[in-house]
Amino acid sequence: MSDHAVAETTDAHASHGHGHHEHGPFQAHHFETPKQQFDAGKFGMWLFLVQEVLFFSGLFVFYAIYRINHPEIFEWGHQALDTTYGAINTIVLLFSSLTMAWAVRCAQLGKKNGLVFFLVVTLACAGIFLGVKYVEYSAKFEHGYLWARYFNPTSDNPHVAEPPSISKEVDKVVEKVESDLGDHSAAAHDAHSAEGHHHGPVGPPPPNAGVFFSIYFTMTGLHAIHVIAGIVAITWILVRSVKGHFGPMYFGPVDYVGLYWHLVDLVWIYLFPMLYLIE
Amino acid sequence: MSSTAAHHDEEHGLAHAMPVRALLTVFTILVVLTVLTVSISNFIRAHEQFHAWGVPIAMFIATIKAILVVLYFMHLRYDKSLNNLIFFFCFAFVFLFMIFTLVDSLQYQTDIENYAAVQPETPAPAAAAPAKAP
Amino acid sequence: MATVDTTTTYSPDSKPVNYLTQSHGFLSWAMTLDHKRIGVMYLVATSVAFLLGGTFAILLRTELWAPGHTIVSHDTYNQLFTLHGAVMVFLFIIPGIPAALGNFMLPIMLGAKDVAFPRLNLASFYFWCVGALFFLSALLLTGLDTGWTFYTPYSTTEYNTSKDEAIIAATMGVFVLGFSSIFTGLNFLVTIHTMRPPGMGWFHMPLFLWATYSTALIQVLATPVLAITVLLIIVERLMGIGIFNPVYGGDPVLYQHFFWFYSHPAVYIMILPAFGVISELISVNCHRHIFGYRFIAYSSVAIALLGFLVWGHHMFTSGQSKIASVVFSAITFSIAIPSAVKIFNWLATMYKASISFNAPFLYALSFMFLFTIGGLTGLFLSTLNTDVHLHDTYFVVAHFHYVMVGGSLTAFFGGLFHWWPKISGKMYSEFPAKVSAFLVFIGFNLTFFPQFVMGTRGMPRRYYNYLPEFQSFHQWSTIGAYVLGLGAIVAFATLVHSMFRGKKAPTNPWGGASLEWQCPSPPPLENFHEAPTVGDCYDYDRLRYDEKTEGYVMTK
Repeated sequence: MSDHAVAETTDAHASHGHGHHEHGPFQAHHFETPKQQFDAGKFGMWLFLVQEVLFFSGLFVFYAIYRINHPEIFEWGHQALDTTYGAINTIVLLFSSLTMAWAVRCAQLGKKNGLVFFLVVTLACAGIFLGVKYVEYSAKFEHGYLWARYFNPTSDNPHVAEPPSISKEVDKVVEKVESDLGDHSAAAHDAHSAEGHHHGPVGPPPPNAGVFFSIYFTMTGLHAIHVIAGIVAITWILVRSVKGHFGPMYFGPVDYVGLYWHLVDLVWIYLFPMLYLIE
Repeated sequence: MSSTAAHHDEEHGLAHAMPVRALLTVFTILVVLTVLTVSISNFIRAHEQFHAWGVPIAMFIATIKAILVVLYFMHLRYDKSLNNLIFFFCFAFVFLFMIFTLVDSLQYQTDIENYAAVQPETPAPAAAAPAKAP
Repeated sequence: MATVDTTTTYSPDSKPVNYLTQSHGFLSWAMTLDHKRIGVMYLVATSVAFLLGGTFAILLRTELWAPGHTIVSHDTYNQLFTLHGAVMVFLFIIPGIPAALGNFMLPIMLGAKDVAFPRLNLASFYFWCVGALFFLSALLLTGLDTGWTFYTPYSTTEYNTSKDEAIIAATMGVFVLGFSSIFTGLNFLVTIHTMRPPGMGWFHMPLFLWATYSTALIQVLATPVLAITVLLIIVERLMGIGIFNPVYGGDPVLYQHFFWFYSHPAVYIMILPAFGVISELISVNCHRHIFGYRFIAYSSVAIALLGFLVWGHHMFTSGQSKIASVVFSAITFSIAIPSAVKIFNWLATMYKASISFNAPFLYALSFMFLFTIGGLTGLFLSTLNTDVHLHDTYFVVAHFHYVMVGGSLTAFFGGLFHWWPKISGKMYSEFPAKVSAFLVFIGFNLTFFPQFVMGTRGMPRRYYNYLPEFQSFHQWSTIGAYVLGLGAIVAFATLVHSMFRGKKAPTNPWGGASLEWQCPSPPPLENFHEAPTVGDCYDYDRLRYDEKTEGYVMTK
């Protein structure tokens, strides 16, 4: 056990694999080697992800229970969701996962510029995701497709006959994103137009239809909170990357935040078919 | 703790670095799968006779996507076996949670329906028994 | 982990410097990353929570001295039992042994300098404090009367007497405390996996570490489900999502599934660390190698995993289906096996040993006695037909208090006395400590044994009023509660007194062979001046009593 509690501020490159008595600037005093620190952090992060999985599992369990006991609610309610938005967000998140994984690779190889670039792209994707989410939520609020207590669909209400300004912006965003994505969203676009422009559920709502929107809002809402937390974490990593903190012997935080970001993506991979596709 | 068992020419420092090509390949597969699942969903919507297949197919594709993300984007394939173990192990608990709760809930649905049939104005189960501790 | 506080520098030249004296001032504690100081802060904080919860208990028992109104109104009574349960469970028992004693002892017993994530450790402590503040606000807002379980639909309906703010504050507290617990568990798992020094294999670890490890596993796997459950309660109250609310087609029984998926494993979060403490106390004070080391170690893990399969036994009469009840009942019986494995191994360790009857050992003995009663009465309750009769009676109350108080609390006191010389560097006086052990044992039995009798005769729990025929039992119980409270006060007074008047503690006062008895009392900042020799932590033949220091020394 070495005695130096105060980490020497040696050059970051001095600690490359030589002995464990020379601590790098970011090696905590109670770890013997950078490897031990990295492994501890990584295992800790995986445990945190395990915790996250179980945290979300509660929502998945109640989805399963309501889905099996009351399929009619889901068949009716999911028509209020726009598959195009869901598909766009899925692609955006998958892309951000790619850039995040790429950022980790850059950190591992010590490529600072690449790291900064890919983190910025990841952040941008997260922003787009939340933007689309905002548009979707506004549409739900507008039509009264809300959770149980406030569930009050107004699609046949004369007030919404003329689309308010927000809808026009929604359409503009949709058109733009759709043209950007090209043929990827072709299938989704067909589905979208097939349902008519003001897509919406057909027929009167079954009893307790609001529970579908309770599930929709709690699941996507909790996911969105995780996206926001991810944005904060990635921003922190970005600041440290610009300062040049990371290199081949110290990239743990980038890797851990990356793992978290992939988990957020993972949850969405399930949420998308569960809420938007399955009937 | 054994060192990471990555037999790859891109072994760098503390952990395995994913080659760019692998990342791009995985991403392409993920996008294709997304398009596929949306197309299948549209197809099933149009053809009533395949209705029962919608859920299993969608969840199957989602699981393939999830596994790809976990193994390659999250490097779990090249990670320690302990991290693999703990991550896949936790799904056993999710499964347990879901199965027990689901089995029970399916069993008492008839009670709820019977109750609702007697009292049509409150289509809901009776209030649960007062609180109980261990 | 960028830099280390300059105030926490350790200089090897001045030997007497230890973790208590190496820096001073409020900030040196509030901002510390040292697991020992965090452990001590947890110890103080959880003890305060215990005294608070204990005060509620005393008030409850006083109220029940006579039928009808005695000292408080029925609404206040409902709030008192809610807060007693919530404070004791979430603020004291769950963090008590793992976060206080475990934080202090785990790295030392492992031979590590600190836990893997010291900042996360400090963050856990502050999460605990924030959670406690939320609880306190629920207390001041008065109106939380749902019971510590927050059962729906009572907790989610708008027309009950509980105010929105009180329930939201309390569930928010549970949410935050849950994360405190998760992070502590995560930290311990990583520490045990990655921080073991060379020579410290899995089966060289003291059994306390196996117990803490199993506990941490439950904390990481089960607590998130509680977090989402209470979060849903908060969202339910704020927005009315109707998930658990039958008015909107929700399902209140589902809430119980969610709640007990955490809260039954949580019972093992409370009792497993106690098992670990008792394994240490028995072996050290018998000066004898623990019998069946591997069996005890594996039984901890078995309890942790089996604990996830039995939550439905809390719901036998809640509208749960028959098939689920039968399955849960059957699995519940099996959990008695690993618990019994431990008890028998401890008994075998004591057989023909030369036992030191000091206060920690007395606490360990009373643990074995009380936990056995608590465990065996659990079998009555896991039997479906008897449970229908005993459900929600004082029998259940007595059963879980025998496990939680008779088990966890006595183990907490036993462990506290056992490791006090290490924590404070002072020896407590043996006589009042023994008196406290006797008072706790007698007071405890006097409080809860009559409750078994009342329960079988049909006295329901949580009732403000009762029939006159139960009065003598209630009065015995109330007297017992006073004696138990006195015992706890004597115990704490003994420890506080020793801080000022106690003799200086030797390195190894009891003759323990695990690593914590090889570092000075109290330990220095990074625990060991030189790397400790890892040997068999239950091999007492290596130790010899040294008259000069009044402690034991290693002979090889």
